[in-house]
Amino acid sequence: MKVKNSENADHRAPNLRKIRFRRLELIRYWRYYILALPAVAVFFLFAYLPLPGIILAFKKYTVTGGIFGSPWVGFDNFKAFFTGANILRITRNILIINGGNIIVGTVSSVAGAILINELFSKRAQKIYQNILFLPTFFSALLVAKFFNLLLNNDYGIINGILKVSGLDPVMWYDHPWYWPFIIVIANTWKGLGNGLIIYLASIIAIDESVYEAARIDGATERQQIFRITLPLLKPVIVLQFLLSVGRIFSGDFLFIYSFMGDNYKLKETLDIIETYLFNNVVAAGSGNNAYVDYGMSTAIGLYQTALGFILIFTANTIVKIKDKELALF
Amino acid sequence: MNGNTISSTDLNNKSRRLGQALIHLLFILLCSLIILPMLLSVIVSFSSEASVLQFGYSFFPDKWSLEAYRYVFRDNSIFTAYGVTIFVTVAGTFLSVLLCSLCGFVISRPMLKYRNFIAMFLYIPTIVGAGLIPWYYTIKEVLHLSNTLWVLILPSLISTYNIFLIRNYYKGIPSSFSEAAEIEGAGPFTVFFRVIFPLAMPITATVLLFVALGYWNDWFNATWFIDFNHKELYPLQYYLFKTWQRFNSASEGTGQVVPMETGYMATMFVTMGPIVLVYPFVQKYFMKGLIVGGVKG
Repeated sequence: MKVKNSENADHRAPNLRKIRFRRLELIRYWRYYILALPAVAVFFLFAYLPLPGIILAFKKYTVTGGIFGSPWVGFDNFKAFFTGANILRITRNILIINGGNIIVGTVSSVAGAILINELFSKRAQKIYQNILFLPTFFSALLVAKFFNLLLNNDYGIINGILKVSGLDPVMWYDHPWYWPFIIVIANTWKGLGNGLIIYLASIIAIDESVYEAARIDGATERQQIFRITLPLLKPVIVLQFLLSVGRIFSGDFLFIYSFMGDNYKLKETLDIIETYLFNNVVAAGSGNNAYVDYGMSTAIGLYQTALGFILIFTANTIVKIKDKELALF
Repeated sequence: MNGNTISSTDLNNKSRRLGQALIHLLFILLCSLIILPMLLSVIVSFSSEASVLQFGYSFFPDKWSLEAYRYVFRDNSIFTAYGVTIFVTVAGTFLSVLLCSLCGFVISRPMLKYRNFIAMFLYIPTIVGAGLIPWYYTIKEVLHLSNTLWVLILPSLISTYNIFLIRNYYKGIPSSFSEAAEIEGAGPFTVFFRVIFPLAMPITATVLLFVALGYWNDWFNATWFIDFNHKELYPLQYYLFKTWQRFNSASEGTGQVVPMETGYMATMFVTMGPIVLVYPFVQKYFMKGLIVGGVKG
């Protein structure tokens, strides 16, 4: 008994000390924690303070009521949006533009990385890489204007060539259906150098002896690419794919808005949730005493979040079925 | 038999050289798709407006002219925009790198029990956030930051991704360095600024460059929070966007003579200039940073 008791006591003592230690932690190391405080405080303001605002999705927003005083309306905001004409158009636009971006972007980056790696001249490789990487530094607006040089209805290079050859100019900015494809091309133009570098780094990391062995066995260049390089690149490609699916619903506003501006003709195919919300919230609210329907807008924002979750879970599940180890979660 | 092998290796060499030439051709084509539009925009900015209106954008303008630049510099507005962008970039980058490094330092210390709590606190909003509109509403109606310089800086100040990148690098620094300093009686402030920070220059430089580029090119916050009564707060990119809009609406208006097309290109060249100048010196750090980030996911 005695032995057991002492064992118990021994067992408990460090535990107690641990608990007291934990409680004192903040005080003992306050000099450390205070260093993280500014970042944590700013982060709290912009990432946590907005959270209660989510309930606006279930309210009819009034200026006097604000977030907490406005009357509840249940799912009315969602009902209005889901039965309206815009939801299908916007969802379709998002899927077309991002699907195109991901597929064309991935294929061109991987192909570019493999091809540039085939070049014997290291100097040429460097020069091409550096030039292709340059658009990464350009804002979306510059990209939009570069494409305008090409496509401008009246003064663009393409229409200039068409006119000289006696053909009818194409009124690009009047036809919405050209634009999803132009956006995908522009996005690839801006992102090629970036993607190429990520994949090239992975290709260079592949052990050279694998290729040597293959060459001794008589593998051709093409066989080496399709049987060695691509299979070994698969984890990186899948990871980048999943990450870009996760990014679908953030950060496209500037790109789309740069191309679309206030050209209402392009709204049919280029409107995404963020541009739609911008028009309904910021543009609508810029007049004096203009009423902004924050309730409706928050509901639409929630739809965006939900859609994002569905897409990333679907993509991840598909990857998981094919190869368990490559899934994100 | 012998001759056959020789001719087949010959053939192999030939097809190999052809392949190389084709790849070079492809990349030269791709590179010219990037360089030519830049060149064209510069040429158009030095063309006379009349020749653009008559012949369209051209690499060989009918008449050269400086009228576009005279128009762009007719008042101080572009210098104001430059000032805003420079201030936002410098102040934002400095604050962001400092606060993120300090926070990364704290959550990299193994003896701090609540470090994982802070990490979770930073990580959760990257998965579930309030969404765009509550965010907008909070900044505008709760914090009252619209139409201030701070709204261009603060919302993007703290990046979870950057903090984790910094923390991972700090974790890789042998703990004997900081322990030695702590035994000597150095406080956390001293340990950070005298020991950790100087040893972590590569990651600091990488994060700094990405943050600076982000601030320089950003105009999201300006579009959402700065209205037309506060033109003096327009950052460069938003100024450029507004110039484009103004030109577009001016063309439908009274027929007032402004060098629209060339003027826009001149504005663009003035905003693009610094990036192209700095590019050769910083691009290799960006490429390295990209690879670090890409591997970490």
